[in-house]
Amino acid sequence: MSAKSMHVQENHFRMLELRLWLLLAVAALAVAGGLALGLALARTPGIQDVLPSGPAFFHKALVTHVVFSFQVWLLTMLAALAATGAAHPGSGLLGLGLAAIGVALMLAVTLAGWGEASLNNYVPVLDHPLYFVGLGLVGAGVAAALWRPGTGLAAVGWCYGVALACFAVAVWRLPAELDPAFRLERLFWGGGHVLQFVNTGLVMAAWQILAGHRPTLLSRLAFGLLALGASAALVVEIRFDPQGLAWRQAYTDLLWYMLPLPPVLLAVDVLAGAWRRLDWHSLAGWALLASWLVFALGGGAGFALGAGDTRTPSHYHAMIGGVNVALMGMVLCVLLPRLQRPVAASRLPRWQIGLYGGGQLLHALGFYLAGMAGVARKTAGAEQGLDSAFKLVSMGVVGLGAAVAVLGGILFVGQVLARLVRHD
Amino acid sequence: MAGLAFLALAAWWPGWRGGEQPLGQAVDPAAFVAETEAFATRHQAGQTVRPPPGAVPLLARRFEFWPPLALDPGESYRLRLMAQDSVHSVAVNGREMLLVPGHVQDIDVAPGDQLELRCNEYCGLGHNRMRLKLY
Repeated sequence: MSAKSMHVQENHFRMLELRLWLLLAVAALAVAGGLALGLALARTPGIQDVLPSGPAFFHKALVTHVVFSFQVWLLTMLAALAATGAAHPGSGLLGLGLAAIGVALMLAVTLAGWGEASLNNYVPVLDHPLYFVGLGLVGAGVAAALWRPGTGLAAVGWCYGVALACFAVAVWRLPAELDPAFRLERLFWGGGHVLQFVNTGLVMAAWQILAGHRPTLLSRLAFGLLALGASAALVVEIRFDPQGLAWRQAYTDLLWYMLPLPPVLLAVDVLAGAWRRLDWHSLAGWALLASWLVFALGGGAGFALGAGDTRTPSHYHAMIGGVNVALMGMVLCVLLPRLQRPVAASRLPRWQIGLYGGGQLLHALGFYLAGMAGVARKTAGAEQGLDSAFKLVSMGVVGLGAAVAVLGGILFVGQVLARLVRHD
Repeated sequence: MAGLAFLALAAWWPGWRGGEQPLGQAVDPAAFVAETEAFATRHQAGQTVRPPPGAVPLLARRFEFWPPLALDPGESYRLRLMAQDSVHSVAVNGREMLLVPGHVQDIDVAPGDQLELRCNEYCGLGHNRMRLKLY
């Protein structure tokens, strides 16, 4: 086989890998949306009794909804990004297969109603061996896609390695006989925090791609600081007992002190480079600005949180919203065109990003105001104690924002799935 | 270069300046539970317990602080908390303390304080319900 035909073949597999990772990522979002519907059904009298585990299905569906729409979506998008330039598509395709099996396993466990739900922070789980196998396969599959030459994501790959190391160390250091809720919370606390460095690296890369930004000294410094910050988790593991309070608080400090600077530096660098060059009225420019706005407001809220109230979900919904807007823009403006499957030029993608980003902003704003008034997080119905007009209106804004954001999400999933599946 | 930066970070970062906080006074868990139950019975006033100023034993357990209290806002108390079933925590005036079975943590309540106890360590599906208004 000539060098040229080998190159053509490798490019073919690279594009196949990219398309399949995108399919898995968007399918995970679609399933997460379906499970959100399941959340509503699990609270509907009559219907809740015919679900696999009755009313308890609410918490099980909630767990997998969060895992698919947060961890699986972001990590598979990271793998998709890695696939665009990486060597060895075989390794990526192997990783894709592992991740797809993992996703299928977790979904099967959820629908079968197996395992107790644990709403621990960052990576909630169903306490069932097959669910953990599924999570492990997704983790390994993404590692296979990320840890190869040519991805251009070395710093993010390093952060991902530190996160996996933190999970592994926690498994080793936390005795199996601990109370399950406490053990699962501590098992995913350290690595879960470090995964936020991975997610931040992902959005930083997406900003660069949206702006057509070439690496500079400042952008390299930003990614270097990101990797350094994630590495600090190794010192936390060496210094503290994972069952203690200092260990838990050290990870909170890690995000406070080490995470904000890298995205700020990168955004300044991208803005300086793209200020005159980028068409800010284009879809890419629109997505970049929307992502910065939502991300910055969410980041700011992170420095003014309460304890156990809805200001915490306000912060993370806005952060995730900012990341997702950038990823949606990257898929629509860059990745689909690279696959020769661009969305038809119309106003729909612009509306979609606006609805999603605007909805997330409203959602987060409502949560923040409700939290200031003392509404507890992760509660529903009478437990929320909505005993004032201010609380009622705030939570109404939460619901309105969620509805608008969901509409934007459905439009995104619909148009991207249609482009990925259809034979042209 | 990266190694030096890492060492500098380890030395500088405030996150690892603080050490582990003490878990509180070691006690016999069963005896403390019995003491709390007897105290609650003695000072029961309707649905809540109205203790006299001074030490008030309290249990943290899924998903409540027990017994429910109605303190006098003009008096001083020392809440003595122990976790009964698993690990919980409580944050008061910006200071968090871990609650574990077999150890008692003290919280001083001064006249005029407006405290609410909230569990701050995930302890199960009802974790966010685990709150106690003291007045």
